[in-house]
Amino acid sequence: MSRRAGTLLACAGALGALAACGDGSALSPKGPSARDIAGLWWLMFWLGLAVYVFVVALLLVVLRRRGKAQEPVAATPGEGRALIWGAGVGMTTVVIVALVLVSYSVGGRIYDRRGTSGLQVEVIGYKFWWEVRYLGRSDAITANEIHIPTGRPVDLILTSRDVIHSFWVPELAGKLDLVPGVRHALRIQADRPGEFRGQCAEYCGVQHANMLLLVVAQPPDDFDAWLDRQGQPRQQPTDPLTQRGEEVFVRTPCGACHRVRGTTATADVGPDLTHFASRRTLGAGVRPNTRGHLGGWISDPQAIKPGNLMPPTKLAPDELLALLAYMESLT
Amino acid sequence: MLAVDRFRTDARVSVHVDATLLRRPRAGEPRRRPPVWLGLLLGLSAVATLLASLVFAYFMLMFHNSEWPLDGIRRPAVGTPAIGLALLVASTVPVLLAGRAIGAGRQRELRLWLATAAVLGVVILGMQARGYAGLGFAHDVNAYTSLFVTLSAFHTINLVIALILNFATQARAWLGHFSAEYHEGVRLAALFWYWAVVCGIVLFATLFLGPLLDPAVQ
Amino acid sequence: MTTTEDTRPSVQTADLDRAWATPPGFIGWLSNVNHKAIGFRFIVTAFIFLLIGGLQAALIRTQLIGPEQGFLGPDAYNQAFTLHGTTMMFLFAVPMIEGLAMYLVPMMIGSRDLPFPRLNAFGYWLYLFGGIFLYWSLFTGSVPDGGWFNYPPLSGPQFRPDTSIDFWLLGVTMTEIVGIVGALELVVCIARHRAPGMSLNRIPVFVWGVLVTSLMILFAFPPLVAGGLLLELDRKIGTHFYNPMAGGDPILWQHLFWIFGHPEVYIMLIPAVGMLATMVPAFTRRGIVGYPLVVVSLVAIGFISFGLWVHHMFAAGLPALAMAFFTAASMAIAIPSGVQVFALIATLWRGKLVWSTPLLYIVGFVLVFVLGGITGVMVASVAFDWQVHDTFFVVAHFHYVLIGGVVLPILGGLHYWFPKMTGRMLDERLGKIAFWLIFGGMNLTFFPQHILGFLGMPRRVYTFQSGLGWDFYNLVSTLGTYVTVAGFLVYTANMAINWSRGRPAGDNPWDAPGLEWATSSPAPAYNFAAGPTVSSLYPLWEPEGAAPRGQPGLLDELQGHRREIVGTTVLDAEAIEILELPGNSLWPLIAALAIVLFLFAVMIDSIVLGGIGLGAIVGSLACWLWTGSERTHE
Repeated sequence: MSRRAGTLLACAGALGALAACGDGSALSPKGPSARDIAGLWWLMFWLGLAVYVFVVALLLVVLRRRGKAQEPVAATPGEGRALIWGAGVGMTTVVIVALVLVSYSVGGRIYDRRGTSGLQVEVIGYKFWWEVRYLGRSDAITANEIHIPTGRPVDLILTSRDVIHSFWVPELAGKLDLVPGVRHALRIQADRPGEFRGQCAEYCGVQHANMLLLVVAQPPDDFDAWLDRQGQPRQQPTDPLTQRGEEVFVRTPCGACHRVRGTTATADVGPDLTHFASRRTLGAGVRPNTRGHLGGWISDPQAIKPGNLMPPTKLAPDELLALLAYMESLT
Repeated sequence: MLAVDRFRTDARVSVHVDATLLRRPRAGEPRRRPPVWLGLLLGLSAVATLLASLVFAYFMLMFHNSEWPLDGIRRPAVGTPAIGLALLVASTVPVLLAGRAIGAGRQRELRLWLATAAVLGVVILGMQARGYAGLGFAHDVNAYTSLFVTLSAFHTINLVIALILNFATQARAWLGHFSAEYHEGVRLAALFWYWAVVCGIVLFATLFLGPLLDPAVQ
Repeated sequence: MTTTEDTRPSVQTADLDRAWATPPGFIGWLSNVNHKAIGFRFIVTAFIFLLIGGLQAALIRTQLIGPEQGFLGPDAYNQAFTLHGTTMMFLFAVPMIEGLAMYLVPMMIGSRDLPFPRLNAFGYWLYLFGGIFLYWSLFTGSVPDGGWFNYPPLSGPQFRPDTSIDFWLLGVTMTEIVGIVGALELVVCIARHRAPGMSLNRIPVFVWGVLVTSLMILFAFPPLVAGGLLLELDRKIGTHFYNPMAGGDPILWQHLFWIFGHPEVYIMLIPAVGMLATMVPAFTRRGIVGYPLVVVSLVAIGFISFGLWVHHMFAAGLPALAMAFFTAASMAIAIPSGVQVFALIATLWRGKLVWSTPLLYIVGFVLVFVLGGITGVMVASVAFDWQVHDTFFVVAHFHYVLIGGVVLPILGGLHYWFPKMTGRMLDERLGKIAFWLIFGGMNLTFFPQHILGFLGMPRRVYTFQSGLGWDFYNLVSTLGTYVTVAGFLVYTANMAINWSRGRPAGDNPWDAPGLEWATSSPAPAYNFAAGPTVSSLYPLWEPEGAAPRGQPGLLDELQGHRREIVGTTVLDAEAIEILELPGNSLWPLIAALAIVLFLFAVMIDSIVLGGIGLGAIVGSLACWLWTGSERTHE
């Protein structure tokens, strides 16, 4: 029993660690913060594995001994000191002191990188979506998708308008809570272009599971172009269908909650939709941003994300088609 | 009839103790408190931790905010509460004397001192009632008012419990339950009274002196 | 071995039987205050809650068997994990340990009962009513869904204006009160009512564990009572303690909760580990190695555990220097924990092993708890925690330490002391099958969750998208859950079958050294006919310390026809007094009902009912204490 169990456990440990290196994983870091933490993890992993293997091996040796039958005896004072002091106290202390020092070093490095000298992006948590505002470029407002330039530090200023959320993109950095009434700064940086998945990591209510986000890292020039575009109001609709669509948008409940800069819809209850078509997902990551999914979402968001704060909107078929065309034009 | 009646006696020192001990009594051996005393002390430790948690909440919220009191509310005047605190501290004297009195078997003096403490307690409660009425704010305005009212109420509740125990002890005194050898009930009620006094001192310091600790507030 | 029959003429067992008897019938059952009866009720009720919590776990995992499942909608899922955590932490773990302590501690220290029997009974009733109160929410449709730690503002008046969170707050407050009164009584018992001769260095490790835990409870539970009170005030009367828009701070709740919450897990761990150290002598035929170090380490764990709580808040944006302190403290607690583990291993080393189910649980503890402890040291690192906080990695960590460090010892302990409580042995084969299913199942369930944490899966999500690479590990985890559930079913069946039909156990089936094995199985209501004295940590193995014969002294003064226990000094357990205990009473039940009435009135905002409830509380407490009034004695 014992030997097989022990071997299985050790193998599982090693395999497990390797399995955790998949895509989107904290162990396939794409930025300096995540890389520091991954390095810390691997050190702790090997140390922890060594300790565990030691304990299991000791246990196996002990359990296989055949002592001789004897009358029960009380303990002899002072026996077992070597094992308890050496392993229980000594080994544990050495491992812990090492880990504390390494942990301080890594934590300190991450902390020292914080600041407000990077590009500042305000991320505001709502139930169940993320508002993104580029500070200093106050016109650029988007939702659920944060673009950053590669190779540069970006300081996310995190806060919430309702309950506590938590910002987490495992490939780039550790997480930090979005607390109402407080503003915290989290520095992220991507080494290379890519799309990095993130998710809310503090239970915030019924659709906590579907409060996703995307961080898109682009080469600096592409990023600047994107940002400029995002700062502009919406493109004037040119053909009758999209014009009708804008009229539907402003007239129906859409305009009561969503802002499209350049129109009379200026509410900020829900996400800013000025450049909605440039986003890859809708509903904070719950569906890809395609016409089909968008139609379903507008008609009945509760069927897709039950409990989120957007009510269903009943539109006549031609109104819906016009609206969809309009939304697709908001690039 | 239920067996409830047959074993009515409390956990207490039985008269057997003085007659037969496993070890010989030494000269000057102090009389030991019965286990229920330790039980009450432990219970009061828990209540004291509850008080400490409320005080922690007060200081945490005070330092969290840049002005204190909030929203320009005026801090309540310290005069009357200070008098109340003085009376509260003074009330430990009759309680102490009541214990001494019954320890020497003086029943009338016991009743006198217990009644004195009760009178003081009622006066303090009356002052607190007037204080609540004249606060100028309610508990639901902001965190400062919530804390002020709640922490004050915590003391009021403890004082009321101390008074109830005092009245019960007085009733038992009138019924002749206590003697010089045994008057544990008096001691236990006294302990709770001292706790109510300590609680009052701590809360007074928190509410009226605490804000002085915050450099942002003045 | 000494027998327990005592033929001294001064103490007749017939007298004792009469004095310690419970009146017959339902009223008698309601008014019973004997520590074994009450402890037994705690154990059975807690076990039922364990099964209920396990059912909730199975529901949760079934929903997560694959991506985008429709087994539980988001509301139902969120309620399920809230109830799962709340049930396991408040309604199973601490009450089970309280029950085992209430049952075993007086027997282990040679006392006839706990010193405040009615307080005991009160504790049970309030626990039962608190659990029922919480689950009543299922019938009202207003089930708490804020998670077991229930953070505001999500749990506050703005986002949860219904009664769901009130069920949680008030139900949990009741169980907190139970914990505090139980702890109080156990401390007094262990301090002042040990068998004469049971000095500090002869107290069984489990009893030490209960002592440390009880003292911890007195200081750890009130912060939650305070925090819960403040939240309930926010919800009910409009205060603003946690409202950031009016000067409050949601982080205050986190501090108060975790100042309770971290010691809470050590409150569960310390007695459980103490149980193992007390059981292991029977299966190694020798005393525990390093007893003084083991005891000192338990005390150290108790102290240090109060300085760790911020490690639950590393992602909340606190200052770096503060967090650094808590990293060091959180890692440091591994040192005394390591002492426990290696003391057990050393005892196994130097002993002659007797393989049976409880020993399997002891070994299982080492394998599972140590792994959890290692991941615990990892998450104590702030930087690392920033990645894995609030993910399935942490879920895996705490299930390893809780199942390894609390559940496995409890299961082993129940198997070990079942004969003492019922007079019957459990079936060894079923016991071993149950162990392997539970041990294997929990590893299958929780090991993959470490990986899920790294892959980006946060906690408390009712579903996840496909294509993230999470499917396989969730599937394995869910299948592991079913294996674990099967194990628990076998374990329960073992107890149900052998309750009345198991092999008769006799006084000491394990040939164990503790005092509880010196009396019959099950023990009579008065535990010991003759008050024992001890002169050793292992009284039954060194019988010079066992029940005295014809020895003059205070023990002989114990009257048979009254409920009396011996009072001793704290350090050396010299007998100094005899105390007479109150008997059966309905007042504890009535007082508990009065508290429920009052809290119910708070929930439904009824001032009239609240006034009646308060009056009932004061009245029942007055009657309770009055009927204990001393009359000037004969």
